Amino acid sequence: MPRTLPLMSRDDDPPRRSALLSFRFLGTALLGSLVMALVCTFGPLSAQIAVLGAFISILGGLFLSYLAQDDQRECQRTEVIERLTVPLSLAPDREIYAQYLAICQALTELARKDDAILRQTALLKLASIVSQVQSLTGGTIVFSLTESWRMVYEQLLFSPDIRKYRSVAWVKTADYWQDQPGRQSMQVNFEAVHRGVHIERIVVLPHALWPQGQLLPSPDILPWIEEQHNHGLWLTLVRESHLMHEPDLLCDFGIYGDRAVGVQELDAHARTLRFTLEFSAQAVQLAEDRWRRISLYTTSLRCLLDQLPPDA
Amino acid sequence: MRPTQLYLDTARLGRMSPRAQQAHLDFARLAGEEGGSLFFENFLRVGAGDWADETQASYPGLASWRGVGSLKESLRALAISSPGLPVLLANRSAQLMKLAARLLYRPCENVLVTDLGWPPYHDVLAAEAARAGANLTSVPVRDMALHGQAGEDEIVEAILTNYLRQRCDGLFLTAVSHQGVRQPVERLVRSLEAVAEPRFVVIDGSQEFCHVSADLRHEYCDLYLAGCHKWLQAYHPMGLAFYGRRRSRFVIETVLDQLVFKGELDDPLLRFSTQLETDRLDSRTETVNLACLFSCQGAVADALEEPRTPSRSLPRRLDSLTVAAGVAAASGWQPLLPPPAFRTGILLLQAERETSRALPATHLRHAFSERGVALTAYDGGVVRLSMPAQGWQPGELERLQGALRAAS
Repeated sequence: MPRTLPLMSRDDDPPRRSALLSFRFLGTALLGSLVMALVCTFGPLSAQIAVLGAFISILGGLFLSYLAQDDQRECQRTEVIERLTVPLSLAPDREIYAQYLAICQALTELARKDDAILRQTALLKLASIVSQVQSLTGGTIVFSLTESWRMVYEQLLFSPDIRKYRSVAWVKTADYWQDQPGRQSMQVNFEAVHRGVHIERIVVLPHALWPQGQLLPSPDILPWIEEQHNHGLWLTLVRESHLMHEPDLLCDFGIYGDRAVGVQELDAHARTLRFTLEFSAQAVQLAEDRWRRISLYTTSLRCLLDQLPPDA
Repeated sequence: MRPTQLYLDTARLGRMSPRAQQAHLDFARLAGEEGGSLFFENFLRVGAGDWADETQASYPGLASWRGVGSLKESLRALAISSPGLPVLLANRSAQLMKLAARLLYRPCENVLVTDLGWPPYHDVLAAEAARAGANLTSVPVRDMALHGQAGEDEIVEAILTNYLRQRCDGLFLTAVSHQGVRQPVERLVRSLEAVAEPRFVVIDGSQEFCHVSADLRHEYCDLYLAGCHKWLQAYHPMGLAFYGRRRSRFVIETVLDQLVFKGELDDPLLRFSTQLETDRLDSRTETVNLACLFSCQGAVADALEEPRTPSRSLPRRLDSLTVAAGVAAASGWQPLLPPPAFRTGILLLQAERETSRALPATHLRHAFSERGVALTAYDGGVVRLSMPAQGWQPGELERLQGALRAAS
């Protein structure tokens, strides 16, 4: 059965009484009229004018004070509306709005706590969170001392709009990307290249892994490089010593289409110290420029393999 | 319809060579006798080497079969390919072309082709380019080559300029076009290597293999595609892919394994022949038509015999082409002759009369067939003649002239 909701009607509102019939108006008007009538009956003309002037002045004062109060009320109303604009602008984005509500709720609860140490610690933590959120707003995500950046890396390589991925692998030790997360990321590379993503990688190698005078890198790292080559990635190599006089080129980074740039910093055991992901056109442009400069020093692996003797 | 007296359609489908016929017939008899017996399986794997003399005499066409590995060795000898480089065999050439396209577009973002290529192969490349969000650049050289507007240097220069200007990084070249124009593919690749670095090079040698020369000894390309049913004259279609360079051997193997594993490359012979060669047959292999293997073995034996090798037969074909062009010019047909450096054993002729040019290709083909001549016909009054390997035999030129006059 369809149900009909009762319509809102102006007739349902309680009838508004005219201001002319209110006690405030009638009482004041009658009292004023009585005073003026008495002054007109018993007082001289000058007294009548003085009383009339006083009444008009009182009326003017009241009007001005009403205007001042109205201004104040308007300011307060505007302030309240401004506070509401944040949730109003966030409301269409459900996921972020849910986070906003959760943070507001937690902050409200936190504000009720009166332990001074708790409050001080909370404020310090909150300041750090604000800084991180502001960094996110600028398109930068920083992962410190964790390999969890690889999840975002995977997402990027699997996004349909990323057709090209260029990376510079600054291999300082043979452990580079040899642990479980590293090997998994390499599988993601192979899957991506199979789906049609064009992957180019420049491998920067130190003397220990590619001694001067040797055609190919040492067996400690060569299988890792050859595996990528065999999967159809375009590999080029450069000796670390060739980039020494341009130290800003010694960097481990990746360019994900024209969308983002990731910079990896590793410790001595090739574990991630920090991975910074920047989603900005400017960062991509700068990384591309750096890529072009490094490319000037590189040699393709194919070219090196061609120089192997026939029986190798 | 009359039987054919003069077969000039090898560029489309070669006539079955004598040893290929013998092998085919004997294979049919062996299949009739043995079916899928263990004796047959053993023969398939290791060949007829351990057969008794009597059995060998019963099946002379199969007596030289020594397994898939041996067939591949013979094919490598025909292509002058390094012994250490593998050869792939497939029922369908299109599957090998799919593999080539995949291999090209892994490292390359812009592959260069010329308009001398086989259009269906270019379609495969275009589809792969679209999948990878990459480009396919086509350079027009056909008119320059076919109408003698440019020499070899000019063609190489045109391709080189376009390669650099369009920022290409891969090559798919047709060694001999289906219209009979020969491209200097090795010279082209070497010229490009001097100024840029092609990341992957595939050569379509369908019309070159066993016709002009498929000389892969200098490892100038990564993959070389060919087939058995044209100039090799095995008749049964079988696709061939020769690995061209040591440096890309494992790239091809890795990509091939991936495509087969994911079911994106599905050719029963490709899988089965590799298993046979490595003696690792699995129980899940589907039933494969093997007739093409034996006819190929017979045809290869014929092709390796001295009078029929490309190096010996090509000069004769070129002489025949010059003679045929003269006969055609005197019979109402205009020979479309490229400069000598681009010529092969394929001759294109165009009817001079407008009425003949307006004829549909099928009508033209029938007109020649009624006079005992088999050839390929195209719209626009164009016919393609494949020159005979042994040169013109007595009476053949007269027959051709008669047919040309009648069809003009």
